[in-house]
Amino acid sequence: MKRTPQRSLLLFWLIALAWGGGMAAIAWVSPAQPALLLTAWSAGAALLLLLALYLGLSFRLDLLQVQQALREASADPQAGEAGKSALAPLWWPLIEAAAAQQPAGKIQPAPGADCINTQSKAQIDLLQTALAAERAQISVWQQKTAQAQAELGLLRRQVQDAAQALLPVESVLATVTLLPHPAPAAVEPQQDQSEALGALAVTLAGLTAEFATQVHAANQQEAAAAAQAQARGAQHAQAVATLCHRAGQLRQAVDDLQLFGLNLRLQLSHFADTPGVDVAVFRQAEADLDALLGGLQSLSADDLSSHPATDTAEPPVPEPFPQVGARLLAHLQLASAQINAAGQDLAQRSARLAQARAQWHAAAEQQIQQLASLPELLQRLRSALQQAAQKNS
Amino acid sequence: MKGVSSWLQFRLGDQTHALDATAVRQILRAPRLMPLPLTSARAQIPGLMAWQGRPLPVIDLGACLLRRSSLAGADARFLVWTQAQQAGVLVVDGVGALLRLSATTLTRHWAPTQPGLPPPWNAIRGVLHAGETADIAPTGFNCSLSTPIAVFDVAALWMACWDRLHPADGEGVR
Repeated sequence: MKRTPQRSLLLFWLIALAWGGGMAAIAWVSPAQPALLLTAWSAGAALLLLLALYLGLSFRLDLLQVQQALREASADPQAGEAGKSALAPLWWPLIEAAAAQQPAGKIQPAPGADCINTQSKAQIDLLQTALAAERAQISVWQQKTAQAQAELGLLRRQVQDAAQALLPVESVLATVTLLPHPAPAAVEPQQDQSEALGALAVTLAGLTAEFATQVHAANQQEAAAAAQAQARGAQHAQAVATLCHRAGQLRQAVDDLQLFGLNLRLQLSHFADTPGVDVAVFRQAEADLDALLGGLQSLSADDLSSHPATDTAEPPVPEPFPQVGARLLAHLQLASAQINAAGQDLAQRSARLAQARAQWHAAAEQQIQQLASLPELLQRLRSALQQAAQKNS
Repeated sequence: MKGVSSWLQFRLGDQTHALDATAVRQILRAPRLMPLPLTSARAQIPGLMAWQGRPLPVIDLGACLLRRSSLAGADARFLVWTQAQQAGVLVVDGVGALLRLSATTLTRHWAPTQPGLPPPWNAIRGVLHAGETADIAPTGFNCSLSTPIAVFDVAALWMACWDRLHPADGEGVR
């Protein structure tokens, strides 16, 4: 029986199956003997390993024999037949196929071989030309690399020079930052000015307060005068009302008298027509009565014409301090308004000055902080330059 | 005083008229009135007024002539008139001067009306006007004949107003 890969694998499977069954039987028969079980397992594992190695080696030998047979079959079909007999039938079709593909005569060069050689030479020439161009390009790149290295060396030297130049600046900055925060020289005059302005503002505030007191007193006097004038106006209105009432009564009396005179005049005219009456006496009485009625009517007409105006007109308010007091009060009010405006202007200027001073202090603090952080930045720059120089070197 | 005529001026609205002064007996201001049960003519006849023991009917002349009451005015006056057996009271807006004109003067300032006017304007007997010369002047009053004055016959005016208010039963009231 010839050895084949299928048979080898089947043998390996059967041995492994036997090994597993033996292990199960041992574990079932004597479960309390782990040493025996371990020994059996180890022995079985070793045997399987040896068997696997053997089978692999034998498979490799079969492959070598197949290759030998293929070579013999490709060279001489009879020799291939002899080698085929030493192999398993599994490999026979492969060997027979190799023997069948063997050409009948000796291999002759192809008719277009010269052409192929010419093309190959041309390609070789092209490749050599490209290789020369590539070498020229490489030389150019080498020159550029040398130039870049020279520039990098120059830059490195410049960086080192800059770092050396920064050293005194760092020392100066360290000195500056270590100093206390002195008030800038420009602040002092402004502080003096602000103090002077503050004193002036205080003085003006006191003056304004004094004027405000005077204005308040003037306002009180004005209010008192107005109250007095109002009281006089009320008295005058009351008097006017009384007069109007009396005028109304008088008007009523005039009307009554006029009506009475007219009736009397009518009666006299009736009596004058009576026979036996002294006509002259009646004529004189009628004339007197007509004069009286005429006076009453004129009086009534004058009263009617003048009454509406006096009734609707407002009573004149007497002025307690005519002209002089009003002018003085107006001057006081104008002066107080001007002083108040000047005080407000000064206060606004002081506020703006204080705000500008605060902004200047804030800017100075910010600059000092920036100066304090500048050495650190310079240190970072220096380290970065050094790192760059090291990388370049 | 023969040959002298007297007229009492009265006012209705913005017009001045006149009545024969001999017929006017008294001028009153706001007397007490007794309303009449005449609801339809209450505006024209406000009521009755007692005068010297006689009940006299009162006619609002403003309501009769101008279609608006004279009683509402503050200067309303009540003119008591008597003529023959007739008597009554006329309410006017106001009373003016008493005109006295002689016969010779009256001929220059008197213009009689022509018949044919509708009632109550047919009660106008004539018109007093200034004429060519301004020699007319009321006695005692500051007024003149700057505008013509219609002179009414008081009895005719009374009857015209009464007939206008009650044309059917006017005879019974008279």
